[in-house]
Amino acid sequence: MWLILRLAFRNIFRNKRRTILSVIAIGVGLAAMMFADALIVSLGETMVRSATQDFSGNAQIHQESFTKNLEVEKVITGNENNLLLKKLEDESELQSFTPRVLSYGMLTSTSDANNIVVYGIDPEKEKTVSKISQRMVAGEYLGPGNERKIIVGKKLADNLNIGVGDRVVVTVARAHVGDLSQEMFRVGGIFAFGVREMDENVAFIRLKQAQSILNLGEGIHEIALNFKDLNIPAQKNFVIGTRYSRGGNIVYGWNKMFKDLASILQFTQFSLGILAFILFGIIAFGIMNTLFMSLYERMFEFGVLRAVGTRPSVVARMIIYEAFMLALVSSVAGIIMGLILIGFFSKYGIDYRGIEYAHLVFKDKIYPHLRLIQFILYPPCLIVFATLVGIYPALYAARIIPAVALRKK
Amino acid sequence: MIQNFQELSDDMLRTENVMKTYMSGEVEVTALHEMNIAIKKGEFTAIAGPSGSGKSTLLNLLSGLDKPSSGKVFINQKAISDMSGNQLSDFRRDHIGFIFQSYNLIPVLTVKENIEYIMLIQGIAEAERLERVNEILNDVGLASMGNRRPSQLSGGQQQRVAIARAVVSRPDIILADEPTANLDSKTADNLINMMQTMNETKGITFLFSTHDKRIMDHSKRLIILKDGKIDSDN
Repeated sequence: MWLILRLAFRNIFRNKRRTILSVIAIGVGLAAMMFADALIVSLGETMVRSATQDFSGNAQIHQESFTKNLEVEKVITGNENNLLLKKLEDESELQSFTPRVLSYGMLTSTSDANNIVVYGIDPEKEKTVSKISQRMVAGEYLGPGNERKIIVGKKLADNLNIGVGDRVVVTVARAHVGDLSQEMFRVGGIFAFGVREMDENVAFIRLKQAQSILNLGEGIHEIALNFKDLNIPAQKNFVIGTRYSRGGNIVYGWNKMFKDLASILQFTQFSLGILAFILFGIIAFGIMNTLFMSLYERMFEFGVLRAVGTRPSVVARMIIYEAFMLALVSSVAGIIMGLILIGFFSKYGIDYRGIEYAHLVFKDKIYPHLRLIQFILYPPCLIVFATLVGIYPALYAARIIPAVALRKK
Repeated sequence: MIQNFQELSDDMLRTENVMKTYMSGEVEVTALHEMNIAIKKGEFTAIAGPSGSGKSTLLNLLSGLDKPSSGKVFINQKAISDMSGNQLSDFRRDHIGFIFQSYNLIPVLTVKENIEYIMLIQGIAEAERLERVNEILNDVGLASMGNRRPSQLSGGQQQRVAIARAVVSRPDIILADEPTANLDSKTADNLINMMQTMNETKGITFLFSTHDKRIMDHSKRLIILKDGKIDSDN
C-alpha cells in the first residue's frame, strides 16, 4: 500500500506545471467557497444587526397577542415589583435589556395632528439596547431634567410642522377605564433612523410618564433584549425564549419578529448551497480532467503495470489515491488563499454602506468572518468529493486491456 | 484426451490451435493461424520473423495479455486462456517475467523500487525483498545505482534494470519482446550474454520475440513465423 501511495504521490508531481495549475484552480475554487461563506454569514449578521440594533433588539417579550393590536391592558405578566426584570439580570446570555410601554395615540401640534405609536422608554437602559440616542438630528435625547419632553421622528416633525422646543399634545386611551388621556409635552429632540415607519409614526417619552398617562401603574408592554451572540434568538433551542414564554407571555426572536429577513437569510443559505454545488462541480471536472490527461499520457505505463501482474483494483486504487492527494494539496493551497482573502477583507471590510437590500439599508461596512466551519467543513468536503470523482477515471484505468495499452507508446 | 496429454506433458508453455483474428476497419484479419507451440523448462528460444508475422501477437497470447479468438494457452499445465482478469494478473505476477523493447520502467520509482515492485505485490516480506534486490543488482552490475531514477540511467542500464525486474520474482518463464532493439551492439551483446548466463546457471526459461540476429545466434531454438504461421522450428 505504501508503494502505491508513494507512486500516486510522485505521479501527481510528474507534470509539475499541470499539477500546479490544477492545484491553483482547485484552490481558488475552495478559497472562493470559503470567502462566500464568510461574506454571506457576515452579510446575514449585518442585516440582522441593522434590523435589530437600531431599535427593536434581538428579541422581545410581550404578553401573547399584544403585538396584534397593541391592546393597552395586555401588560407583561409576572413583573410585579419588577420581578421579571430582576430575573433577566441573571441571564448570562443577555448583553442588555430594556422595558417599554407602547400604545397607539395621536400627536397634535398647533397646525396638524398625526396618528402615532407612542413609546415609553427608560432613557438610560434604552441606550444599551437601541440607537435612538445616536440617531438624533436635532435637540437632545431624553436626558435628566424636564419630565415633559418628547422626541419625535424627523418626518413626523415635518408633517406636524414642529421643531425642538415646540409644544405638542399626546392623546392616548387609558387602560382598564377606556377614557382618553391628554398630556402636553415639549419637543426635546428629533431623530432620523432612515426608516419611514420609525421617522413618520413614532414618538418617545419617559417610561414613567407613559405608564402614568396610560394608567398602567408599573405595567410594561415590552422588554427588548440584546444577546451577546445574536444568533441565539434564532436557534431552535432558544433557552431564554422557552424560559420566559410562560404565564401568558411570549418571547419572539428576531427571526419571528422579522419573518421576511429570516426568509431572505434562509434563501441566502440555500444560495450558498447552490454555489457550493456549482463550485464543487467545477472542481470535480477540473480534477477529472487532470486525472484523465495524466492517465492518457501514462497509458503504456498502465499496460506495463498490468502486464507485470498488478490487479485492476490496485491500478484503480492508485488513481483514487492520486485524486485524493491532488485534492489534499489543493485544499492546503485553498486554505492558504482563503485565509489571505478573508483575512484581508475582515480587516478592511467591504463597503456596502448606503446600499438597500431587502428593505434594509446597510449602515456599516461588512467584515467577512473567519469561522472554524470554513476549515473543518469545506476542505474535507472537497477531499471526499474529489476522491469520489476519482472513481470514474480509476474505473477507466482498471479496465485498460494490457495488450492494447502496450501498443499506445 | 487433452487432459491425459496435459498430465503427461513436461512442457512449461504450450499452445493448442491458438488463433487470433481482429478487425481492421470492416475486414477481418487473421494474425495467427491455429498455432501449436511447446516450450520446455530451461529453454532459450527466439521467435523471429518479419514485421506483421505475428510475433508480438503470439507473445501477448502466451503471456495472457490478450485472449485468443480460439484455441488454448497452457503454462505449467494451466489453461491461462480460461482465467478471469484477476486470476490472470496473479498468474502473470507469479509465473511470468516481462522484458519490453523500451525498458518501460516506472519513471517515478527508483531502480530499487522498480525491482521491488513485483515482489511487493506478491506479498514478499521486506527483508527478503531487500536481499533479493541487492543480489540481483549485483548480478546485473548496477549495485551502486539502486537509488537512481530511470531517467538518470543509460538505455543499456535501464534494460538491465528491466531484466532484474523480470528475474527477481523468480518466474517460470521470461518473455522478452525485442529486448535489444533500442541498444547499441556492445550493450546488446552484454545483455544477451547476461541473459544466457542466467539461463544456464539458474535455469531460467527465456522466450524472445526478435529481429536481432545476435539473439537468434545465441538461442538454442529458433522459431520463424511467417504470415501468422510457423515457417520453421529448429
